[in-house]
Amino acid sequence: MIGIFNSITINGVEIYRSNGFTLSREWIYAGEIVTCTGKVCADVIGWRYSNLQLQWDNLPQDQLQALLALDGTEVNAVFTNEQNQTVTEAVIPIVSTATVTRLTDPQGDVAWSGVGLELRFINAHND
Amino acid sequence: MPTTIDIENAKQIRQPMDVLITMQVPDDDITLSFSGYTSTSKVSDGRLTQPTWPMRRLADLQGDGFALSGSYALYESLTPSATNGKLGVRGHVGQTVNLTVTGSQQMAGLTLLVTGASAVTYNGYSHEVTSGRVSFLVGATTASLTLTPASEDTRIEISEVQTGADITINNDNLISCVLSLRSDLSVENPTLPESEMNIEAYFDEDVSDAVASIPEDTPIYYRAGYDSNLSPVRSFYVAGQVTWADNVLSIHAVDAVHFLDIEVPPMYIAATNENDPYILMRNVHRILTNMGLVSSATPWNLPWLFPSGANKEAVLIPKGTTVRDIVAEMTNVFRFRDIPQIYLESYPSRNSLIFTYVDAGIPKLNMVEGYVGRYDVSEEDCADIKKEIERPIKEITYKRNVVTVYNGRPGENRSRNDGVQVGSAQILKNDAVFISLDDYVFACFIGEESSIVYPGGSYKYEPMVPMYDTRAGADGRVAWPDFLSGSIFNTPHGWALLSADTKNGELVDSTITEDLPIFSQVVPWNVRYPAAESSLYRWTSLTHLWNYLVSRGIIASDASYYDTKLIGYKLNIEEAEVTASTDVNGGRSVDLSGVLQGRSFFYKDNEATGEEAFPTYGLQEMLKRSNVTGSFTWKGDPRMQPRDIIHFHRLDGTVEDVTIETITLKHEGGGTTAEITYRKGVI
Repeated sequence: MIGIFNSITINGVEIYRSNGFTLSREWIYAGEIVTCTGKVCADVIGWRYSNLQLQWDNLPQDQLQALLALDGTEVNAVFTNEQNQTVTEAVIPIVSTATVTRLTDPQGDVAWSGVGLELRFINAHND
Repeated sequence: MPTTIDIENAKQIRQPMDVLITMQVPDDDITLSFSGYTSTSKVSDGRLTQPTWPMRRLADLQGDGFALSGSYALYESLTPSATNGKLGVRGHVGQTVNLTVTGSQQMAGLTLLVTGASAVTYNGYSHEVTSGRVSFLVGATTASLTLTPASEDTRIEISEVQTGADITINNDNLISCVLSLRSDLSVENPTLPESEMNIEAYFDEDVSDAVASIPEDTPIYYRAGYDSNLSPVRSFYVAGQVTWADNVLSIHAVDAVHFLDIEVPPMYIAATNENDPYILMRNVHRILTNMGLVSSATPWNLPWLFPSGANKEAVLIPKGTTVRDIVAEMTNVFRFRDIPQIYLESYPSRNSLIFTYVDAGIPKLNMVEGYVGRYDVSEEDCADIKKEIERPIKEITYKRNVVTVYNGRPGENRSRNDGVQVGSAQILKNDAVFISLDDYVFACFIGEESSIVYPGGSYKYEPMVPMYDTRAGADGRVAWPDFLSGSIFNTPHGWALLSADTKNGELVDSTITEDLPIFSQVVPWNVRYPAAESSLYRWTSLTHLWNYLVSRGIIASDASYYDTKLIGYKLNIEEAEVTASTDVNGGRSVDLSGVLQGRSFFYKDNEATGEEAFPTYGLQEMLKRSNVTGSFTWKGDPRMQPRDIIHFHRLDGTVEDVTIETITLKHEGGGTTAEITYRKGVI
């Protein structure tokens, strides 16, 4: 059983949290103008999570298959945020790393290394 | 003390503004009936269209409780009435209530006054109840509603159902709102431009049927800003059809200026007596206010635009002139921030007339300068900064028309039977007269050098034909039928209407028809009636009238006869010019033409120099207008409107005062920006 703090659910499949799972937020601006002095003036209308880089040392075969099944359409990602709350966000995969290496442990279980994925968050928040 | 808008605007990244737009969708003459509530209500009488009837207390047995005798009256047993109150429709505690509303015709919307409910569901969409009120669009003849209680402990009580609804657009459903607020600060014949607002908003529910019935000129109100610091309400009016497509509501609205597109009947107003220029100004003021202009200046405190002793002044309003034309021209020549010194010296208590603008719409005529917003904007916060410099204007020539009326005045040989006299004298020497059609003035007068001149008549007469040529009776006085119904007297006491029925020779209250549109509005302001009489003075006999005129000093007591002639003559309009110039080298000259033609704005206060107050003074003021204009994009302030002043803090540290000419305020994607054009200086 993968615990809530060490997993991320993508498209309904629970996957190990990757190395360096770092969430960050970015503001969403509207009414943006660049002034004559190069200053950006705008109204901040909300925030969303910045693109998230996921990189796994090793990933079991079934979890890799779940990632490979992503076809670029919008899916849900469920994870624990920086306030230790479980959140669901709409994401689209925008970059995947394909230089994977197959590993087999002594029990014969297959794992893959060098798997990477970048997610873009769709949802905007104004709380 | 800085407001929230000021504080937020000082930030580089500011919080988004709230935009609140409401539109009232009216329904007229729709009878409502109610059904479907009996199964879900605890008690009800279905009385939901009696707003003045109080809601009877549900637990009120008799008085405020059980009487000492133990007697009580069941609330159901009382007949609903204004005295007994009503039950409305009340549900069980914590339970929903159903209500079906049926209109006698299609209802654009419904508004419910209800307590204890959190929401009303119609057609699958839930509408929140706020402050005991909920309003939503319907677009059908029948609406089945479900009311949800606010909690399991509350009881829904519906007290009133009205047709008509409010459409509310705010940040939750607003796609874009672009306001284009306009003024015209140009020098050459500035116009009174129209401001507009274009809105797109998203609605989940299909409101196409409801919006199809929204009529033109439906009021729509706009505010923006922050909690507790919203801009003043700006009023606009729906123009064209409100459309709904792909769940997007599109509204085009304009300000109130188009209400001033009312044609003023061609008119000639003259003034010859010492104080008549003041009366002249009052008449112009009256025309404007009667046709919709807002004014805080009463006729009694209008400025004496002409010092005592001025004479021979007149106003000609040519055919096709609208109130909007007049306001545009008067704005040009009257808007003085510096009161002409010559008036202050002579009449320190009287100021000038100032047009200020309300809602960027119909201007308001003030005696003193009204509220003008003043704002600070830093150039470093602006983008797309442009500056344009026109060639300076060195000379302004105002084309005016001098009006003369050929003849019409009896010559020296004045008698009762005189016909039209041909000569060089102008007709209106003695007093003001006006009745006009097209380019013709119809005038009538009594006697020689008398103090009364009165016009009258009907449009059924052709121009160039004497409208009425009376023959005096044996006593030298005019027979009854010779007084035309609706004749207007310009007496020293104001305009007076003589109401006469020429058919039977008796004076009766006449019905003022549209043939005299101005008079029909002017008269009630000016007629001096004996208090005991009806709204129109009723002379019971010719002697009565004669005595009245004598008692008022309108005619001399020893007058033995008077002639009446109603004569129509073509106006001769000659162009004349008045010029103001500066010594700007290399400047250009511009020509202006006025719609208020004549000599009303001209007064030679100094015969030696020939100096004239109007429009020369106005032209001089216009010459002060800078030839520097500019534009910039800024973060935007919904409180600003055209003609407000901006203290523009330039990058070099200087502060430049500019007057806003136009603002395009855009609320798009949740953000707000403004494109502003200005003319340098305080205008």
